[in-house]
Parts: sequence; C-alpha cells; structure tokens
Amino acid sequence: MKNLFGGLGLGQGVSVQLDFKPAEGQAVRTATVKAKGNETEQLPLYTNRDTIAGEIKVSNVPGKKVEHQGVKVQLLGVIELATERGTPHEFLALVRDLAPPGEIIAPQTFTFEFNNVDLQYDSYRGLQARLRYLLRVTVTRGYGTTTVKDFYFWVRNCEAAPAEVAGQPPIKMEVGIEECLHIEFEYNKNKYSLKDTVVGKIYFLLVRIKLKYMEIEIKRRETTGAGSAAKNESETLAKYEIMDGAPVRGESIPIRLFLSPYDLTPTYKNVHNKFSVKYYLNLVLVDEEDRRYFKQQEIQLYRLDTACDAASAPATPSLRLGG
Amino acid sequence: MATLGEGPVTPQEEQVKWLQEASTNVKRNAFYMKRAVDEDNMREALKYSAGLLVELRTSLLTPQKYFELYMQAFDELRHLEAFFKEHHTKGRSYADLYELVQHAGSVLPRLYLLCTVGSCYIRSKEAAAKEILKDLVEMCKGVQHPTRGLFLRSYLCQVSRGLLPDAGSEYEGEGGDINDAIDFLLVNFTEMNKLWVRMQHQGSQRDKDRREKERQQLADLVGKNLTYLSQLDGLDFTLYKDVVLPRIMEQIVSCKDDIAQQYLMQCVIQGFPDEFHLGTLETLLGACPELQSGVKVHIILASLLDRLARYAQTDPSVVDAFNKADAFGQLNAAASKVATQQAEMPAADVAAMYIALLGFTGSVYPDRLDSVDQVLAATHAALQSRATSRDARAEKQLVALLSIPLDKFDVVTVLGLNNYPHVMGLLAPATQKEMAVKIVQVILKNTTRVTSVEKVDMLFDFINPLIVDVEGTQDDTDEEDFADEQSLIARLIHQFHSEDTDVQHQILTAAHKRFLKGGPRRLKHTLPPLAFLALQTVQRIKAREEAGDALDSSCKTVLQFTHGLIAALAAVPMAETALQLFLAAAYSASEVARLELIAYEFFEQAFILYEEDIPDSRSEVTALQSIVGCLHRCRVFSAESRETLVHKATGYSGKLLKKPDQCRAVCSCSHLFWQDIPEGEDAGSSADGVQPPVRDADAVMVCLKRALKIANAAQQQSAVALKASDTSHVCLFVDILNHYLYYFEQGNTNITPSVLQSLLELVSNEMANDHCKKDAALEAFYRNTLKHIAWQKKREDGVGKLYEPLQI
Amino acid sequence: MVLVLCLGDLHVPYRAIDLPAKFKALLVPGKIHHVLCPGNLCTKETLDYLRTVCTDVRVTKGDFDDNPRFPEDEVLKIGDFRVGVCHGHQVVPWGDMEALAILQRKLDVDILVTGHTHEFKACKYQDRFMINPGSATGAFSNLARDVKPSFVLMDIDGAKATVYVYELNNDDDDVKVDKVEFQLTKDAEAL
Repeated sequence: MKNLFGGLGLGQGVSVQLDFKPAEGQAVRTATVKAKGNETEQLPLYTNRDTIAGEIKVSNVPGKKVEHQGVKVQLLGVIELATERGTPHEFLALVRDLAPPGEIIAPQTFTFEFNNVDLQYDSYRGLQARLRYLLRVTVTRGYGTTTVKDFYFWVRNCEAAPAEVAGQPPIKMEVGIEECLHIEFEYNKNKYSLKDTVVGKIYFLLVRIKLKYMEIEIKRRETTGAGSAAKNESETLAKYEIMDGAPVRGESIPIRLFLSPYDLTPTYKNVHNKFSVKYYLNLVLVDEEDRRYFKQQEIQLYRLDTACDAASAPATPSLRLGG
Repeated sequence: MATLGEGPVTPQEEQVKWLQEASTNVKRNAFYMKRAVDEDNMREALKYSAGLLVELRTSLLTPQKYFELYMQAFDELRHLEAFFKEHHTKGRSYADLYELVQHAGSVLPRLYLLCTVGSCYIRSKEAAAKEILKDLVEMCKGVQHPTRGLFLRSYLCQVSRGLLPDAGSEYEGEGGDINDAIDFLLVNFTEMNKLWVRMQHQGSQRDKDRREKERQQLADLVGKNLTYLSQLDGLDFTLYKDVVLPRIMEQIVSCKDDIAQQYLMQCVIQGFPDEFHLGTLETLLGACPELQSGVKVHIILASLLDRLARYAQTDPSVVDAFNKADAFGQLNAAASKVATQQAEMPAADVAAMYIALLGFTGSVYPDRLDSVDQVLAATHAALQSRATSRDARAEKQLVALLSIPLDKFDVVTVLGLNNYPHVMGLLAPATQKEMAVKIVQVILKNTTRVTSVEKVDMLFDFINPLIVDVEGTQDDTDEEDFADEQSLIARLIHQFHSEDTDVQHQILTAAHKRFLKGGPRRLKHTLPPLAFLALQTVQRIKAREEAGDALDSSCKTVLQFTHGLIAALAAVPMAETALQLFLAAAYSASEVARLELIAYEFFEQAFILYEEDIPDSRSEVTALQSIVGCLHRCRVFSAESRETLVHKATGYSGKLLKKPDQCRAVCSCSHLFWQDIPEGEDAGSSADGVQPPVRDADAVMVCLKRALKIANAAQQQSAVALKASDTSHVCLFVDILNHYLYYFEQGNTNITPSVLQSLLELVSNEMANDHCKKDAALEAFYRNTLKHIAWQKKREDGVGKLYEPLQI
Repeated sequence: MVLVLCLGDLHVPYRAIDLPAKFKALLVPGKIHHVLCPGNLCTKETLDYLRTVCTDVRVTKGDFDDNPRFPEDEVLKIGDFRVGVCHGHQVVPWGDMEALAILQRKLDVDILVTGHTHEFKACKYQDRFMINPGSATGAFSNLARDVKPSFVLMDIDGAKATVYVYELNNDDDDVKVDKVEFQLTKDAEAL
C-alpha cells in the first residue's frame, strides 16, 4: 500500500504519485500518528541527517497529452500556529528539479534524493501548534492549472540517555493545606524517557478530610508566542488512579505509572522560537464532596535512542483500561 | 396511601437489588471477556475483565453481599488466569503481561489483575517469588477503602497460597526463603488489620452496632493470614518467637481496637501449636494487660488456659515443661496484673478469668491443692475492691468458680483451704445460701463422708445459711424450696460417718447442737434422719460391745441422746413422726441394746403422744398398728412391764372410733399374747436379758371373743340404722374366722375343730344373705378362706391332719 | 408382656440419701409399665423421680409416709394376675407369711407385694405368690441387719410372671440379679 500515498490528480489532467524508497543502508520506517479523533495514520518516519529518496510518478489521462513548464519536488519544514492561521512558517525548504518544461505523453517516473537533510525538529501535532515535514511535487502549467501535491512524512529525533540519569535528583516535596491535609510526594526522577515508568510514593502526614480517591494526571502545555503575547494551552493526556478510599495519617501510597501507553512527545523548548511543549505530572486528590486538591510538577520528557531503533515495530497500542 | 410495587423499601431489599445489578454487570462483562478470550484478543479480554472488576468498587453493599459479588468475580478471573497461561505458552512473557495489566487506569481492577498475573508469574518461576510478592503486597496499598481493601488483600492471600517460598516449597531458593514468606504474610496481615480497625472510625456513632456487626463478619479475612502463617512448614519455634509473634503482638496491641484485639488474640491462641505457646507465655501474657479495657481478657485467657490444659494431658513430660517454665506462676501473675491494671474490668469477667485459671490448675495439677488455694487467694484479692455482692453476673461466676474445686477434689478438703471461706465471703447472703446448696449437692453426689467433729463443724460453717435464718435470705424462699433445701440437709446427715462410734456420737451431738438453732421449721426435717443415724449408731456400738471394745459412748448414752432428739421433734410439733420414732427407738432399746427401762420409757413416751397429740381417728389407727406391731416383737420386758404396756395397747383398741377398726385392732392385739418362737429357741427359754416368748392361749381367745362381740355389735348397729345392705360386719366375721384359722394352725389349743366348725357355720349363714352375695370382694374373701381350708386339708403334714375334722 | 417395677422402703431422706446410682442407671424411662411401691418413699421428690421412670406409679401408705392420699392398699389387674400392694406394717406379726396370707385372701390377689421388713422375699404361698422387694435404698432398719439395696422387676406375660430380683452388694458396688418364675394355675377355681 505504500505506493498509494497521495491522491490522483484527475480533472487536472495529471496525477502524481510519490513512493518513498529506502536510501542505501536505510530502511523505510513508518510511524503511527494520531490523526483527528481516534483515528491514526501511518507516515514514513525519518530522523535528522537521513537521506530522503523516492520515486515520483506523473501520469496523464491515457490518450491526452499534457504540456508543462517543468516538474519539481520540494522538501519543506513548516510550523503552523493557530494564532497565525494561514501563514505557516517555513523553516526548511529544499528543492530538486525533476524535469524541464515539456510534455507528458505517457506516465513518467522520476527519482529524487535529498541527502543528509537537516531535520532538526520533531514533527508535532498539538492543539495550537503543528510542526510538519512534507514533500511537495509541483507540475507547473500555465493559467492556474498547475498541479501541486503534498506528501507528508514524520520526523522523530532521539537523544542519548542523559548522562546524569543515574544521579538524577528525585522530585520530593511536602505540600498541604494547613490543619487539613499534609502530604509528601516523591517521583523518582525529573526527567523521563517516553518508555519510562514514573515510580514514587505519596506519604500522608496529616489527613483531616475524607478523601475518596487520588489520581495522577499527565498534562501537556503548549506555549506559543513569547513575552506578553505568549499563549498557553493545556491538555490532559492521561488520568491514572493510584488510590481508592481514604487513607489515614502515616499511610504511604505507591506510584507506578507506565508512560508508554500514552501519546507523549519529548519536552520541546522554544522550537524555532515559535512554540514550546512542556509536560507535567498533576497529583489530584478528591474528597467525598468532590472537592479537588492538586499539585502540578513539571517533568522533562525525552526520547531515548533505543526507542528510535525500536520504532520500526508498531508502537505499543494505547491501552486505557477501565474507567 | 402507599402504593404497591414502588420498589425496594427495606435495607435488605435494597441490598438484594444492588447486588443483583452489580452481579448482572459482572456477568455481562464476563461474557465479553470470555468471548475476547475465545478470539485470542488480550486487549479486549483485559478491558472487560477490568469492566467486571469495576463492580467491586461499590460502597453500597454490606460485607455479606459484597462477599457474594467478590466470589462471582473471583470465579470469572479464573478464566482470565487460564488465558494468561495460554498466552505464556505461546511465548508471551509474564513480565510483559505484568506490565500490561498495570496500564489500567482504575486502581482496584488494576490490582486484582496484577495479583492474578502475579500468581502466574511466580508459578512460571520467571521471576523470584519474593520479588513479586513484595511488589504485590506493597502495591495493594493503593486501596485504602476498608472493605474493598480487605477483599483485595484476601484475594492476594488466596491466589498466592502455595506460591510462597516456604521451606521445602518449590519456590524456595532463588524465589526466596521462609523469611520472605513470613514477611509477606505479616505485612499483609498488618495492612489488613489496619484497614479492619479503620472501619470502626468511619460513619456516624448511630451506626456503631451495625458497623461492629459488619466488622465481625470480616474478621476471618484478617485471621486467614495468621492461619496461613501457622501452616508454613518452615515456621519453627525460633522464628515464631523472634519474628512472627513479636510482630503480630505489636500490631495487636498498637491497633488499640477492642474487636480486633479480642479476635486476633484468640486467633493466635487457636492458630499456633501448644509448644509455641508454652515457650512464649511471657509475650502472650505480657500483652494481656495492655489490651483495651473493652476486651474480654478473661475469654482470651480462658482459651489459652484451655489449650494448655489439653496440651498437658497429651503427655506427662509436658507437665514437666510447664513446671520448668513456671507456667502456673506466670499465668497467675498475668491474671493479677490484668485485674489490677484494668480497673474497669467487670467483676464477673475477673471471676471468669480465675475460673479459667482454676480449671487449668485442676486439670494440669490434679493433686496440687496449694495451687487451688493460691488461685482462690488471688481471686479474693482481685475482687475485694469490686463490689460483687450487688452484681448478679459476678455472683453467678463466683459460684461457678467455687464449684470447680468441689468437683475436682475432695469436698471437705477443699473447704479446709484457707482462702475458700474468704472467697465465699464475697458473696451476698442469698448467694452464699445458693453456694451452700451446691456444696451439699456435691457431697451427696460424690458420697463424700464427713468423718470428724471438726470437719462437721467446718461444713456447718459453710452451709450455715441453710441451717439457721440469715438476714436477707428468708424473704425469697417459698415453702417448697425451703422443704427441698432441708431435704438436702436431711440427706447430708447420712454422710456424717466415723468408723469410731465414739466419734460418731460426738458428731451426732455437734450436729444436733447446730440443728437446734434452726428452729422448728428446720427441725421437722433434720431431726428424724439424725434420730435414725443415732439408732444405727446404737446397732454399731452393740456390735463393738459384743466384740469387747472399750467405748466411751454406750448404747445407753446414745439412746438417751436419741430420746432428747425425739422429744424435741415432738415439741415441733410432729407427734406422728415422733411417735413412730419412739417406737423405733423402743425397738432398738429392746432388741438391740436390751435395755428394758429405756425401752419401757420410749413406749411410755409413745403412749403419751398417742393419748395427747394424735389428731384424728385414721392416724390413731395407724399409730396403734405400729404400737402393736412393735410391741409384739419386743422381748426385753418382764411379765409385769409387758402386762402394763399390752394392757394399755389393748385398751386403746377398744376406744377407736369405728367398730370395724376396734374389731381389727383387737384381733391384732391378740398377737401381743402370742409371740413367735425363733428358730433354734425353745419355748420358755431366756437368755441375755431376753424374756421367753409369750404364748398365752387363753388371752388370745379373750381377744378373739372380744372381736366377735364387737362384730356382733357392729351388726346390731347397722340393723338399728336399717342399713340392711351393710355387709361390713360380715367381713369382720370372715376376718375373725381367718384369725381363728391362724391360731388353729399355730397350735392354740383353745381353738378346737368344733369351735371352728360353729364359726364357719355362722359365717356361712351370714354369707347366704343376698346382700353378701352381691358384695364381690366379700364373696372372694370368703371363697378364698374356704379355698385355704380346702388347701390345708389336702396337706399331708401335721396341718393336714389338724384340718381333717373340719367340714366345709 | 408387661414390665412391673416393685420397690419400696426408700426412706429418703430420713434414712438414706437416694437410690443407688447403679439402680438409677438401670431404671430407664419408657420401658416400665407400672411401678408398685408398697410405701415409705418418703418425700415427694422421690415420687417425682419414680414418675419420670413410668407414669403409672401406685404407692400405698407406709408408716413414715405423711401423704394422706396414699391408700392403705391397692389392687390392680396386670395380665391374668390380680396384684395387691400394701406396706405391711398393719399386719401383725410383721412379715409373717400366714398373717400376710390373710391379707392376700382378703384382697383376693394372686401376687401380694409388701414391704416394711427391709428384707427381700419372693416366694410361693399355696397357689399364690408373695413379694417383698426389700429396701430400694438399703435404708437402715432395726428389723434387719446390713440391709442391701434391692428391688424387683416383674415381667408379666399372660398367666406367667418372671420375677427378677436386683440386689446391690454394698461392698463391691455390684448388682446381682436372680430370677424366679411363677405360673398362675386356675384349676383351684373349680372348687
């Protein structure tokens, strides 16, 4: 099915198909990416400094000759912000001319190759920011009949495990409401890989309210703009119940949260001066009157090298069981 | 107006409804889960199993109903477990599954799934059992709701059964060792107990009763951990003593919860082996005073003591071990400490505690009366400060306590213990009396003999409330109860027995002295048996005298003593019984002691009572029958004294109210002139103060003729009264005829065949009367008499010859 | 087949504590059809006990009974037998066979059950039978020495009576049982 990317440009007299081909010593990998709603789509997956190569097939309606002023393919990197609707920002633009002006009598195949492309940013689809990579094939014809066809692909970059992982300081904090609720919580690290597990515990120092349950939320915050124009948007990606019922003073409740089932990305800081993505663990305690008490704590997420290597396998399905 | 069919209204109906709803959801989810299993879809299977487990999050159900739901879920999870195993055989690692189930967002379903996978994981040995167990027992902390947490941990306990790295288990070694197994169970136990105790403090005070009931229902979930601990093969005494027990006790004491302490102490006592208890008595007993004041420590101690007592009976060497550990001393000290420290402990419970200790002492040291005394002393010390006499429950327990040594040891010896009277003194007067009854009953049941004056005196001290009126005891006794009590005392008298007749006499005297203080109401019951015992003593003294023993108390002194007794009884007044007793005494004096004067005196006394105090004619008849019967047998009297006595007796017979009674009495009196000749004795012989048998044929005839006269007079009387149908005089004639026949056979020469023949004719004429023929009884009597004559005629001995001339 | 228990002169509590435990163990409730007691129970307690053994208890008056409801004598028909009960202190000389025979003729009974002497006796007199079950408690009596507790159980089957005598030896607490049979002959009736 790989060769079915892209639509058929019927009506315009020309149809364009693009087939990503593996470069030498390099497999074509795919990424499953969440699309609108609950749907997912599969996209070719690349990493910084990869070579992106493939074949482009331009076809005419049989028996109908098509004249053109040239065929080219562009590799674009764009950032789209909700605040700047309609004016995507291109941070990367490469081009390869495939054919000089001429005519297409029969379907014609072109090969292309972008070597050692600088794909420094990860693809990203958020609520108000998107970072996309695409190949754009243009068959230039006069008078508004030019055919332009985009072929998206996905980029993920890995980090080496932070050298200081072993010695990472845990997050430890005592919080509370005076004479009402005092807890001490502890997450084992402040920096987690996407396949990591958050391990920790909640220690109840004082409980004067009747708690019903406690959960950990994973929250994502996108920031666009800068300074006074900065805009934040938060989204809860996961809710994970860690306690049922009311504890008493002295209880300590274990936390073990596997991050892999969730659709997370690494923490992004100031991507091309356009946006940032941050992740938080939000500890929420709910009492019997449904009042909520919470404490939010930022964690750094990163993608570990091995995760990249394993990406050829289908990503773990997001499993959210129960309520 | 209420309408029907509005749905559930009572809490019970609500429960049923809620359970039904939850159960339906479980079933539905289980159905999809199993379908997913069939389709080999792990993701769906997990989703629906979590779905069914979500039902266990309900807070609506009572523990009982929740248990039903739990069992349902439990059964369904077995399908999932099988599915895990299937996947595992297909190459999926348990480590993978172990993580996978933890992706579930809801904590309760997640932990049930985790326990389920965990058990498979251990069984596969892909991971060390100890690691998984440690993880599971820790993760389960996520459920802090008491009921849900208890059931979850109970599930953990259940699925991990047999998977612990117990000594000798296949999971031992890399999977860990006995210490890990113990640790797992102890942690789970501690956590469960904390949850269980927490229930007590939830909800309003109003629901306390219901809540406590629910807690009781959940007790066994907690206790199961201890059961499993006790079943560990690797649990030896050292581990128990150094690790297990201290941690259990720490939890029990520190939880400060009445219900938990009560239940768990019992669990420990019942759950672990006897020899462990013996070795850790100090720890166990040390905890007792630390328990909450609401805990019934006596019940706990009682079950411990009960176990130890039964243990002691298994093997004599155990008792040595007990001694070595000073088990009794430790137990006694612990009981005292509990009584002192728990000032609010009810007296009844303190008593119950000592009952247990006493029971233990009795069965472990059946011959150690000093221990019994020690327990009694401790009981007294513990209860002195607690007002027991107004506490009915305490009184009841004390009675039970005092009864224990009575059953186990010789009663009289027990009563001699220093502290027995002290403890008995704690009782209210009415209860002391109850206790007195008990003491007497036990003596009677065990037929314990009271063998000395001192012991009799001591016994009387104990049963004093029955012997005299004590303030505060009379009011509630009705006449029948009183009679029953005194009947007990009357029976008790027969247990006063010394082989030495001198001592026996002293005992009788001492008892008499005590009884006199009881007033006539009691004397009525107590004097007759005492008199009989005295007469029995006379018999025994006579035997000893004949054997030549030198004695202080002679027949005479005892008879004189008896005289006093009977005279007192006559003064009660109880004339009829006294008369009978005088006759019995007279008989003793005559036929046993051979003391004519005393025998005469007794008859005199009987006659005085007859003349002055016999209330009615029927009693007179009875009394006279006894007088005649007794006098007939007495052979000590000289002719002169005998004549006086016989004269009086015959005189009485003529003075009876009714002619038939007179007639029959006179017939009886005829025998006073005709004594039997004992075998081996000649008529006319006398020896040893015994007069020869009287055989006065003429005097007999005088009597019989008088009888005939009276019968005639009776006949005249009924003729005058125009009572033609009255046949009673004819019956008298037949009676007299029979007496004639009697003496005829006895060889009374005054009765010749012709005399008899004419009497027979007289009777036969009377019997011809129509009224007589209709009187079946009379007819039969007459017919039987003729038959007797016929029978005797047929005899081939002297009697047959005698009868020959008679014609019927 | 009818079982008749004869026991008397218990003298509880004047002269004895109670029936011996061995006897009580033998007297299983529900087996016995009639209890005949010639007298001297002497308390209601003892009567109540006998009623637990059997509902039909006949007691005649002894010289130490003060219950005015007890009759001097009583006659009842059991099987083919007429059985009479009387304490016997009324019959002088006490325990005399010939004197008792007068009573037997008067009551017109085939079997006469009496007491008073505390001496067990079961014997044939002419074509009749006399039984003295002795004292069931072994109560003290001047009339007898070393009284042994005894009672009688009669098994009456039509015209045949089998009399079992139970005697307790005080020394070894052992119960001895003797058997006497008695067949009723009605031919004498023909006279």
